[in-house]
Amino acid sequence: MKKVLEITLGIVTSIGGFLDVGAIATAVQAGAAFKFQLIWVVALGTICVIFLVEMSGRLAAVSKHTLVDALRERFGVNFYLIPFLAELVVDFLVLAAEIGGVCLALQLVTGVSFRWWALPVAFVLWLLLWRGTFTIIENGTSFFGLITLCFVVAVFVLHPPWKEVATGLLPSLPAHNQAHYWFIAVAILGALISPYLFYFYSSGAIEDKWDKSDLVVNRGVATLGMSFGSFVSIGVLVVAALVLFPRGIQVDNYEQAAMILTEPFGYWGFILFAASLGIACFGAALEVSLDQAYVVAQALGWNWGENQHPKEDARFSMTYTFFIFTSSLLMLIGIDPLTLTIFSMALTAVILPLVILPFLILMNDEHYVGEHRNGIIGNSVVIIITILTFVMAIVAIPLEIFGGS
Amino acid sequence: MKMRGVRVGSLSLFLLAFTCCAKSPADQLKAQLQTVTSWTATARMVGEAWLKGYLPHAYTARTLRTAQETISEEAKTIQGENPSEVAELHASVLGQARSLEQLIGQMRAAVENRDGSALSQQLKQLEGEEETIKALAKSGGVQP
Repeated sequence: MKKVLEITLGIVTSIGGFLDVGAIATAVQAGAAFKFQLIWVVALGTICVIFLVEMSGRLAAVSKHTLVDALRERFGVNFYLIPFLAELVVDFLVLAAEIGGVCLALQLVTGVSFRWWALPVAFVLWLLLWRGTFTIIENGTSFFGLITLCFVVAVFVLHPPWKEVATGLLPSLPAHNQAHYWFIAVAILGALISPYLFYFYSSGAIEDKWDKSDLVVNRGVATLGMSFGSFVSIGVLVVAALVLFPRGIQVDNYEQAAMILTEPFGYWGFILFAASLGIACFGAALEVSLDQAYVVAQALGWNWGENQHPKEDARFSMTYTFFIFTSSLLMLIGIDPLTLTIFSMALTAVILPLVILPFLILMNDEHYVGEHRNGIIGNSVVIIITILTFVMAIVAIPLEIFGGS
Repeated sequence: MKMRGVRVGSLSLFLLAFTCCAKSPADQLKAQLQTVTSWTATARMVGEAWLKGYLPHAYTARTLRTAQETISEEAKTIQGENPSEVAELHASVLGQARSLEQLIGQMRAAVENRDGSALSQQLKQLEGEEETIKALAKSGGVQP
């Protein structure tokens, strides 16, 4: 009974915490530009992330190592430096984009420019991390994040052509704008297979003191939580496809995305969009900030833990403090949040092999996971999707930048 | 010597990729048309939603301003180009973009003054302008 409750809680928090700025932005752009044609990419990314999240939880529960600890120990500091720096740069940009998402939500509601919200949002974020505990960070924001289910409800209110939606699960090429199609596909995969997600998950498992008895919960949460969570992402895509695509609106600004819920819900649709964007991005910003501190502290062998008092792990606390405020500066100087989001997601896709391939080696090493090593299916799925994402990224990104059709 | 060869090779590859990927004037115009069409549709959607009371004034005015500015930027870029192969379409798109920029500016003023009846009139006008820009987009090869 206790396990069922734990799995239920994990699923609920996974659904509430699934969306972030990248998932929202890429899904809206995909639906507006290519209707249902990119749903298969969301499904593909979800399959990969299910495997990766399950693996990171399994690694922590069996070996009692976080992913960073194990990577540093197994490959040495010199090798680890490469994925470490790549992860730090991407996390920095993703954090700025998440803060940008919260600021934009506030701009939508108040009319005050997002730039003015950058520092207040950074301060509230920092305060919550400084004063809060891991459980509050992990569960609190995810419960509020359940508001994002409004996108799923909107799909039913709008009565989509279900057959056509289901056809989107099969890969197909558009008749026009193929370069943009592949670029958005790369950004969707980058948003879904965010390395911060599984770094954070493995650190969280150590914070929650997981052991082998938690493997069932881990598998249930990773599989069901991520699967249900992806429905929210698909919901955003389908709503954008139903509302923006027929009007010929291509989203190159968040203001265009903000109207997608007004058709099914009227005025409250606008409020729901702003609340969903703000809460989802705030929750993700908390996780990315913590992840940066985890990665740095674990790589350098410092004390770490969100459940400890900042005095006990001063360098850990200083790390998230530094990253939160420097990331918020990108918003303060007025960098366009949507451009930054899409760029960060595409960059994430490029660095995936650097982060994931060493992780897979670990997951096949008996010294760390013993009899709980990866099976051939897990290895194959993750390798194929990672390589595919990387190849798509190095082809699609130059085409998107320099133009091509 | 070897390093120099590698550098020259990399530069050639980059230039080749850049040349292959560079947009033709017709492609550029197509992209500009797509942006103008998209922001025209945005302005219409936001205006209609505001009339129904679905959107706050500040957001509506800001979005209309962004639409106006984006179309104005596109018009400036179009004006700065002189493609001989699509000269006729180029001139029509420029004229239409200028007209839309002005109309959306008026819509913004109507929202700022909370003048619903003026906005209704302008939306009717925008509907006609939208049809024209869509027709231009179609003749320019932009897929709906």
